Amino acid sequence: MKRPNLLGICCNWSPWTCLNAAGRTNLELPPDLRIIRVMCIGRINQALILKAFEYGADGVILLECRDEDCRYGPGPEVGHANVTLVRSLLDLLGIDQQRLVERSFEAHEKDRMVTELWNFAERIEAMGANPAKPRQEREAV
Amino acid sequence: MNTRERDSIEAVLLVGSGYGALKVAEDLVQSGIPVAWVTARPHYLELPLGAEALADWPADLDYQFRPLYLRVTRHPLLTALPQARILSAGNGTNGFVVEGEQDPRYIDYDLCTGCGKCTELCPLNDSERPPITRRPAQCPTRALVLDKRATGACRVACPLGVNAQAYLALTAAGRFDEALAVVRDANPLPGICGRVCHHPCETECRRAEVDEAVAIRDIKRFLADFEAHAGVVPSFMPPAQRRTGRVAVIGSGPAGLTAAHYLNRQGFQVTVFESLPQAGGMLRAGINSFRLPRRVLDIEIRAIENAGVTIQTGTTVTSVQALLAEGFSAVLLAAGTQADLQLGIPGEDLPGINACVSFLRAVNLYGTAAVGAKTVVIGAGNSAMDAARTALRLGAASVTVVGIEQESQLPAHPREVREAREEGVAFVLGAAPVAFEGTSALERVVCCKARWQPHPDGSQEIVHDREDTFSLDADCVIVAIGQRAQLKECGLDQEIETGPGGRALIDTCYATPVAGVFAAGDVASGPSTVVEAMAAGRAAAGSIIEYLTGEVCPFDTPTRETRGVGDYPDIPESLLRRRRPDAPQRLPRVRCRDFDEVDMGLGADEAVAEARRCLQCSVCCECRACEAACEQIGAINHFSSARQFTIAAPAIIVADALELPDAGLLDRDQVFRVADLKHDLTDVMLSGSAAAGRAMVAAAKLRRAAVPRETDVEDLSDEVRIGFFLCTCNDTLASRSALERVRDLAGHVRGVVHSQLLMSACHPAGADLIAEAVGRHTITRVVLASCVCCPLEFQCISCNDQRTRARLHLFERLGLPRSRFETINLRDSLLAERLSDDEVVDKARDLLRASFVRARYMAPLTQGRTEIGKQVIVLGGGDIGRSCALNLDLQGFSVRLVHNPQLTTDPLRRQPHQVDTSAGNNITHVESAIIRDIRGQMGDFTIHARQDGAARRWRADIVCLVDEAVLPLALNEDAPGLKKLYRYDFAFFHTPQAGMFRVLPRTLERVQEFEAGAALAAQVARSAAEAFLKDHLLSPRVDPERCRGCGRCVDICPFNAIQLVPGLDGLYTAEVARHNCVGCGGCVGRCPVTALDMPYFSNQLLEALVADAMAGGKTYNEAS
Repeated sequence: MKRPNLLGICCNWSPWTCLNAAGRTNLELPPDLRIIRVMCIGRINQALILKAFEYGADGVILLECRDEDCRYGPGPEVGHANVTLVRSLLDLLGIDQQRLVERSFEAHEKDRMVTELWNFAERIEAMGANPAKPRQEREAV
Repeated sequence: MNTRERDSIEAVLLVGSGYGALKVAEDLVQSGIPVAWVTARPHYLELPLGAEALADWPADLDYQFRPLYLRVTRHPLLTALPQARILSAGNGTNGFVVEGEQDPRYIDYDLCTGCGKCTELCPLNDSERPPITRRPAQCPTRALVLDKRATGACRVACPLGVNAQAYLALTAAGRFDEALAVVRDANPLPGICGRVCHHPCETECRRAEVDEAVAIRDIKRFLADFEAHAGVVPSFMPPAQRRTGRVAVIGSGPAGLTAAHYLNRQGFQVTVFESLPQAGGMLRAGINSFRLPRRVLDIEIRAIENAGVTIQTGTTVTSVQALLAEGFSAVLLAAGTQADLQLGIPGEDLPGINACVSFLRAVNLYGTAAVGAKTVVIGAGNSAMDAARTALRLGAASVTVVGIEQESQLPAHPREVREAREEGVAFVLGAAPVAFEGTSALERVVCCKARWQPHPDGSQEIVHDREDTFSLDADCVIVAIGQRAQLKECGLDQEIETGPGGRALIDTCYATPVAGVFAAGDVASGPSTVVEAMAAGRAAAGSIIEYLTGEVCPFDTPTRETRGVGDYPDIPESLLRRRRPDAPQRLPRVRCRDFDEVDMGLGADEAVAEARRCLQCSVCCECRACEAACEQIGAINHFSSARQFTIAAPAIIVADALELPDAGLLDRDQVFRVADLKHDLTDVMLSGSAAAGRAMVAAAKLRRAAVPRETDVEDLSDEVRIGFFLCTCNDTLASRSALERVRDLAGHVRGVVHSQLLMSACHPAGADLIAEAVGRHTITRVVLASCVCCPLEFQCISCNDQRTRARLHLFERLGLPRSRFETINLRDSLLAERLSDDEVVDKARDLLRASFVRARYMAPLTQGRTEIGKQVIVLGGGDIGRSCALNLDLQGFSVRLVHNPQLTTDPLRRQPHQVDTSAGNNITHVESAIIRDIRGQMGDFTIHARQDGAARRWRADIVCLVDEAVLPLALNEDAPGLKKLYRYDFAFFHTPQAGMFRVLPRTLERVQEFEAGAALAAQVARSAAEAFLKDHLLSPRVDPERCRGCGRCVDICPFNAIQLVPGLDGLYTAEVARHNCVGCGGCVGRCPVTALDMPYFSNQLLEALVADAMAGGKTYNEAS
């Protein structure tokens, strides 16, 4: 059985602080989750999120700062706009909108982050493979 | 040891610490004016209120102050002089000439990596006052500070300068072998001195103010015994290198042995001549085995011999000239005082009368002496006590000591007197013998009452009371009234000039008038103590080394002032009184039967408990254990000395008046004050800016134009040859084996040609290693895993001094190309104590994956700053506008001052302002104008206006909005996120747009108009001199082919950094105003058609990262 492919795109600031703190206290993260770190979630454009699905992601989670917390200003706002737009595109592509998740955190919320990541992983696993994947890949899940 | 240096600096002088001072320094250095910052505090942010006060301030201040602190303290124009003070301020040709002194800094701020390994080795780290600390905790550096106070009184009191505090600290920590090594460094005879030293250290011990002095001598003895019980035979290491020059030492007593030891340690070949059959001098001949067991003596003499000292026993030297002729380059006479003084009273030649030294020598060396049943000892010194107790052990039925002194003035140590008394020695005090009587042999000693009386010449003479005479029956007398040198007996007095008591005459350097011949110890000083003789021996050895090599004496006997900063800390009130332990002793009636040792010494637990009583007066005990932790880094120097400096200052800014030597200075011209904290931080900083602005006028000629240092744009199309460097942070990051595994794993990543561990990336030597490897392996991409997060040339809220320093070394000092560096902060993600080796390797592999992907998608960064133009437009007159314009004019700017700007097209309501045109030749006055809009960015603003009904277009590099009417032209700073990024600047003059300043009404509640103008001028000057050349590819690029001019990027940008410009075909295209851009990438993310990209962190790279993550890290990093 192939495990689901989960991608986390993590902002370098508050969410990465949570992630780091979780790692330091040896909190377990979903094993199927791969995380890439970016300076700001605002840097991620719609194309990249779609590309993640193209590369075989079964679920994508954006980990970002709270709106008022962004170190640069427009990050979360861009994140919200992109999630809304990409979700409608996913719908067109026949991919469940729930496969794209957006969560915001403050720097001290490591426990909530770990919970959210597990929830995300469990939900995506329950949904099964991304239907946009080639059939043989899908059936292997 | 450092030589004292005196630095000469030409700069504006800033005195005091705190945030106001930080702001002053920022404005001045960033505007190109050098600053010398002098403060008594160890770090600039430590406030007079104390570090705790920081916690009361808003937490988000941290977002600004960390980068600000780093930007300023590592600025090339700042001469940082913390822990320093101004001594005097006089007049110079261009303002003031200020003299000052900086305290020694025992941990080099520029080298310390903050790894903290030294604290683990410090025996006092767990004490209430750890000597090595980080402070204040909020400071954005990890560097440590060493608290070393005045040298401990015990150490100063010791003639040898033995560091008692250090060996007590180590003993208290149970580190007995290290403690003993500390003793041995300054005293090669610890077991001997641990028994017979008269311990002047204990006399000076500060603990006696509370209860009793620490039993320092007993601890020393314990340390030597502990080693002996463990079966270790001590031996000094032979010198690593032999030097030419043989030295003869005459006499193997404490002075001779010590001199021989230290001369040998310095590499000289030493031969000791001893006339007695065994070595040790008075240690052996004069001190009994019940006080000093022969075993201890033999072991410690052997330890010295083992290092290469030759001792020729049974050899009496009769001519120093013969020794010199034999090839010795120098001779040290340390023959001691072996001849007894005589009483010179009738009957002194009767059989049964012995002299003390010869008596003890006979007992101790030959075992030949005998005593009578009734033995009388004349004299009450330590030798007399030895003689009396020896007589008891030889079988005397009664032993009586006759002394002139009264009980309280006895020259013998009270402890010796007590022990003699316990053993049954009787004392007849206040009496002196006047005759010995007997027919064929001694029968009685006739005494009379006597006392010492000072003689007018300063000496003491005996006054006998002949009326009060009595006699003591005696068949044996030991005369122990003193000794003298016996140079005459061996004929040496023919060559060496002698003085009173037959002593060798020497100068202050222990040299006799005969070239190459030195004398030390009792032979030169008269009878003294073991430790004094040893000290003289070592000092003479130093003189001999100076004589032979011309080098400065290498031996250190510190005074209280030699090292350290400040006095001893107060004795803590929480201290509990606790008496010192009595060392166990054998029972008097048992011990007086034999020659075995009387004292038994402390046990390990007792010694540790006793060592803990030490108050550690100097805070740092200078055991130098920490040096081992810092061997690779070399940041610790216990011997660093104070630094003198001279500052030629056109102006002085005082942030803390208490740090001035003379408050009168405040009243002088060109001395500006930063206001004290009144309401909040903004007050102080605003006031700091105002002071900086005023000082800029006086210091304008010191301003150094920022020279553009643009480097060529790196061509990154070359072959990818990756070098991987992993900073071990002085071996504290994780276990060596785990890091070696990470290194080896990285070595197998595709494209990696070199993989290496570094002791430190922020250390100059670490940076040198990287540069060297880059050259040797022709590395074209570097992946540096350390605590450094980014290779860029600015500091963010995460940065610290070490990270800043690493980049300065790599990119500024060594000139390595930034564009070719991928840096990854591994340190903060690996918490070694909690992770197993496997976990460390897994986690590092996980984190490094993206770095190796990134190494393939690097984009060139152009480096450097550029100076922008000096055209300033000030919109708004009044006192602020005029003050600002005048200030800028005096600094060399050209200013257009619009007195009455309006935003609307309504008819002008205000009366034309009366303008004082006498001052300022570069100010263009505009009475009133209607401002339409302001476009552009710093260095290239265009102001559209109407003046006198005519349309005007003014160009300006920098814009100041002073009049309330024009405030709406500034960007709104309340947008989300902006507060966090720029808050402290927003508090006064900055807008979210670089190069555009404004004065808010609330600013005037804090400072008066004139000061506000000066402060505004300071901001303008700063921007003008140090504008980032923001063309470093962190700003987005627009692909005009893809851009369809939708304007979403314009809407999302809070910084006005993106605007739509009409293209050739009439379509609008986005364009980036790079001075306004902060490089967040929000517009790139918002663009629906991927028309925007940021070359340094490109869409292509992000896609590669996603692809790599989805492929489980297999796409790029598979082993080649």
